[in-house]
Amino acid sequence: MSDFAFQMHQVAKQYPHFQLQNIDLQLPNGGIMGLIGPNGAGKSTLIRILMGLIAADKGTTEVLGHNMPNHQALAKVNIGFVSEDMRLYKNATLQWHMDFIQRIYPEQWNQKYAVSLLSKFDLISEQKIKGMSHGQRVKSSILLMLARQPKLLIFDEPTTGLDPVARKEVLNEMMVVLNDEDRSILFSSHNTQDVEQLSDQITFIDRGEIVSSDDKESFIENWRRIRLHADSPLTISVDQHVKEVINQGRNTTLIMHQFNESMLRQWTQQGAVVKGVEYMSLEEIFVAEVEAKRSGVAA
Amino acid sequence: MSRITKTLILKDIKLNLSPIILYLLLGIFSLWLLTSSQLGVFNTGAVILISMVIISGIHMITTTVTTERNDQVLPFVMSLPISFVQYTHAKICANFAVFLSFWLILLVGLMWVIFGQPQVPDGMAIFTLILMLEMLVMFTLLLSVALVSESQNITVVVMSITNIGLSLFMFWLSGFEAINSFMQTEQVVWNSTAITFVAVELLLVVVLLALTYLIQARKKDFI
Repeated sequence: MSDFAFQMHQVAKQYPHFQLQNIDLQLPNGGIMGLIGPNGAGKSTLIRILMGLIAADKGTTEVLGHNMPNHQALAKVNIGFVSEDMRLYKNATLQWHMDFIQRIYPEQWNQKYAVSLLSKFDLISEQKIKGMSHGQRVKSSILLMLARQPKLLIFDEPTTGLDPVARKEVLNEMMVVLNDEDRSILFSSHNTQDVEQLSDQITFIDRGEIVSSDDKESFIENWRRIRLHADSPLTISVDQHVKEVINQGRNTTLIMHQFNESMLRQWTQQGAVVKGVEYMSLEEIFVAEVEAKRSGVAA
Repeated sequence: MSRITKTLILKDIKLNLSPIILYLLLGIFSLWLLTSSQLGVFNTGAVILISMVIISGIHMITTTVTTERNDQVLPFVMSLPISFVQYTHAKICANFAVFLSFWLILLVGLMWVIFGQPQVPDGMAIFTLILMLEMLVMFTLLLSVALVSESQNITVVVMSITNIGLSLFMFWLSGFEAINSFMQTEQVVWNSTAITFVAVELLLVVVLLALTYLIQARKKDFI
């Protein structure tokens, strides 16, 4: 049994107007990885390669110890997948879908859990899918996935388009699942708040490339926003640590990577007053990482 | 065949059972019309029968293959523990199970009408069999195109062409002296022309299916 829920090594996929390149990514068993990227960054392509739905042009992909896409049927026995663009049979009821999934996974299906999820998600099993709201449809897909208790759960933008109440219900249930340490989760989103709430490992992706991948605490710890005040203009340029300089009159804001206190000295010696050293939100870190990557300044 | 493939086949059949039963009832009704001695009623029965065979095939292919893709249900199906070849196999089996059952019931019914009704010449049996086999070929072609092209537009174009083609095929077939000359007689003559038609049609079904599996197995993007 592999120590990793999945491993991607030098994976590449070429399309006429987009390419996923040199993807090296792995998730340890029991880990929760958030995959953050703007629209069109390659999140869904990466996930579809993991699911065996797309064959990569280069590289190797192993999921739960199975080579993808060749052994996808075996791997998918223990993978649960929900994506924003996934739909159920509109003319069938949720109960019909529950019976169908139970027939596919007779040993894994947990009827008691399914019934409790029906109640938690406020769903009616006899309702046809076409009569459901978008939020109810997403919750139905998640119910069908969770009730069969897969070892690896892959969510591709599951909260996109959900109203705040439905989003909270979905996130709460995902947090309950996280308590099971044997289960691994990959969760893609362009909503950094959702990812920050759930993930312990975060991967940023942009323009088909992994920008950076690390644990959440390291990201938070490595980045700072420094607010300086000086009577005369400061001469600060972008370098290995200073990723962005924003001048607003006498105030200067710096976006810093791998910050340490000693760095402040060089600016105080220039006459600057440090008005604040602040942690950055994951969204700000993501934007800073992506901009640094796009401008060619390695973070 | 794996348990999951069987479940997928049954799923497609169950989801389409009501309309298929309706088409079957209309098909059986058309057989009753074919027993009429009045030419107008007989022709109406023939038109309804041919339509039901065509419609049942089109209905299954559009709902189980193209609509499933257009409605974005395919990611749900492909998230299940199956490979793309198993998916293809399940679709082919579900479509053939429904269409062939329908086709066989109507073929047997037609033979019953031809051999049981004195006003219908027995010689029609060969022409009818070749025509029914042609419908099977067209159904197979349409299913193959739907699965391989993954496009509703292309499938609709091929659907239109095959429907026009069926009428042209009827004229073309009845133009063969070896077929035409026995249609209005009481003799069922299996000459080389008739055997060639049947053999080529059966071969086409096999070749189309083999090509479908081959192309699907070589695909790199399954969704």
